[in-house]
Amino acid sequence: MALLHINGLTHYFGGLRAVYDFNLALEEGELIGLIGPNGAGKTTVFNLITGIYRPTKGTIQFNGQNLVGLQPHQITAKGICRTFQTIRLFNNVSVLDNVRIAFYSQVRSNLLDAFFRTPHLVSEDKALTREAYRLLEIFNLERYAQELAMNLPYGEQKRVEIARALATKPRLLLLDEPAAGMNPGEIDRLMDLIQRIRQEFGLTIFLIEHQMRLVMRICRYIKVMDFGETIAEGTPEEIRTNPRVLQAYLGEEVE
Amino acid sequence: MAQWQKLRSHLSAIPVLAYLLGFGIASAIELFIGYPVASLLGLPTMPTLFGIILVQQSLALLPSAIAYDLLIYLVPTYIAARLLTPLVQKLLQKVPSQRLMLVYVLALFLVALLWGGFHEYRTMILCLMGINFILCISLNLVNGYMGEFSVGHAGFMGVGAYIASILTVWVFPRSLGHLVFPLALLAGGAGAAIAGLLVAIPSFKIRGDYLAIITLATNFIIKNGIENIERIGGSRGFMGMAKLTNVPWVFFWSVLTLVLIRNFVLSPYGRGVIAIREDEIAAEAMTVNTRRMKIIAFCTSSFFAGIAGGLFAHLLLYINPSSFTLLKSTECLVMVYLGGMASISGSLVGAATFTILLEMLRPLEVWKWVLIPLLLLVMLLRRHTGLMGFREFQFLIPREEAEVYGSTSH
Ligand SMILES: Nc1ncnc2c1ncn2[C@@H]1O[C@H](COP(=O)(O)OP(=O)(O)O)[C@@H](O)[C@H]1O
Ligand SMILES: [Mg+2]
Repeated sequence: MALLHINGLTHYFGGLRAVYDFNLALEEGELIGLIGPNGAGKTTVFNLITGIYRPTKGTIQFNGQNLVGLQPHQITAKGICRTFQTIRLFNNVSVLDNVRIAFYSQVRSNLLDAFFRTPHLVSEDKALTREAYRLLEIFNLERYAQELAMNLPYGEQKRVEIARALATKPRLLLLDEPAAGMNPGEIDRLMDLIQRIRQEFGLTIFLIEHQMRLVMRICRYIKVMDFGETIAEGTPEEIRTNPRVLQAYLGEEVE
Repeated sequence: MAQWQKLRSHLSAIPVLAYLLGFGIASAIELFIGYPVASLLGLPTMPTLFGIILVQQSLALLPSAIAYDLLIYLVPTYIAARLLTPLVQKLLQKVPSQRLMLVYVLALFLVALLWGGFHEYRTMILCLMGINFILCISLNLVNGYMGEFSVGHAGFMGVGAYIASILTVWVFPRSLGHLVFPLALLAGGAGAAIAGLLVAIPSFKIRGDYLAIITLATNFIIKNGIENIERIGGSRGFMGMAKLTNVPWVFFWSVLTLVLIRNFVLSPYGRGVIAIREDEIAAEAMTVNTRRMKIIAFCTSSFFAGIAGGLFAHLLLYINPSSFTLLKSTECLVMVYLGGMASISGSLVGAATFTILLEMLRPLEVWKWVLIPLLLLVMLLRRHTGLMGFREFQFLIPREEAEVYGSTSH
């Protein structure tokens, strides 16, 4: 039984066919990649999985449960979390609170505890704060804990986004172009980081890359999209030599 | 400029609590020598609100009024604050930090009584300040913390005012007075919260900024609705309330509101509300149930507006639908943006400043209608975050949070 099972996923924006007949059976522990030229429909696939859009057609099942029609917060609480292609941090909030916000669905104290700041809430919040610091340490971000997120350099902001996503305790992590805007050195370090958190948190990872550099190196299985359709899938070697992929990437560099 | 800097750092080295106590001592001295000093300076009566009212009557009194403020308030406050500084610092170290807020609250209450407890007009001003504070902090929850734009706060205030008044005048036995006053206020708050719920459910059903237009409409509906209910006086208004609102009650409800809203915004749920302001899609993606939090924040905000309304009604002893128009809502907005977005300290500063400003503007009469909306417009256009925007006084932050954030305010 696959952890994430997508069948015939199709999505139209008005007359524009953004995603057409997308299928996926993602097993627990896998790390797979989704590539394709700009506008191919990759981000839309993530938006459909996480409930931001409701698909025109098709089914999405996570751990055997249907996801279509659920609110994004419910889907994340089930164990799928994501990062965004363009960083979407809570800018005027400290890095620590960016992470603490993501604990929302795990909070056991109720609203009355919150209004009266009961000992139960205080001790729970303390535990969450410790946990947030632990996550920040893994990403080498603890010294920024009290800094507003918007004051961090770009690369650090990208790491905060991943740390924040992990705070929701996902089983499946969706990364949307994590290497965008990074130089080769930074990309190497990012790859190490992804491998490390994958081990440490027992994650299944599904990642989008526009460039092929990162994907070809860390993913054992890759899907390629163009104009909403899946035009190829297979191992990096198969993808590299696939004529349809080469054609789709015509005019863009293929490694 | 260097001297100005030096003066500033000198003045800010003195703890806020010392200033507060210093002002209390100045007020106590005023009780004894206020009248003689005023007549010595050629003022017709003792200035009740720092001479603002006297100057409105005759501009020629300005120098004397300033001299009075210097002699009675500024100089004694400064001297007392300086002398008290070592003592206050020792006290602040001794008091366990979770009791710190209690110390400030008690000191503030004492000072308020000393300054205003013996003058009818000052008592009125203090009560209005407290009521305005409750309005301001509750609106700040929606407009500052949650980043939505509610423009009809006075409507909910009106609901609370009418419900509380009807209860104390027609339902509860008059002899019980203060005993049942909290019940009447709570009922007013609950009524306002229900009205808030009726607004919140459709407003937050779909994503997008519908709240401004819906709250605008709601403000009109509530006002016109009350106008058309003859049973409660229609446009003639409603009266017969006993004077139940006084400084202790206003103080109690202000502190209660402050503590509850502070606790809420510092809780995981409050952080969810702040996440909505920052990025709603990211908030949802991080498991925040944005629709639920929006409804809860909005109802909480309306609830406290209702409490403020009840206090207001039992202070003025007469209410009518035009007490709760868009102008009153605009006043609430001005307080929020003047004091500071997403700040409890800002709500304190905003309400206090605005209450006094309003007294200063009293001679303008109808021009108020032009000036106050204009003030709001300017602040919104300049993206003014207010005097204390996104910042807090240290003593308002609970110990655990202060530890997390070291000594920086946030
Ligand atoms: N919210 C939207 N409304 C209309 N069209 C959209 C929307 N989001 C994406 N699109 C369109 O859908 C197509 C796929 O976009 P996207 O999934 O972002 O591509 P990718 O992530 O592969 O670059 C593009 O043509 C894009 O313009
Ligand atoms: Mg994309």
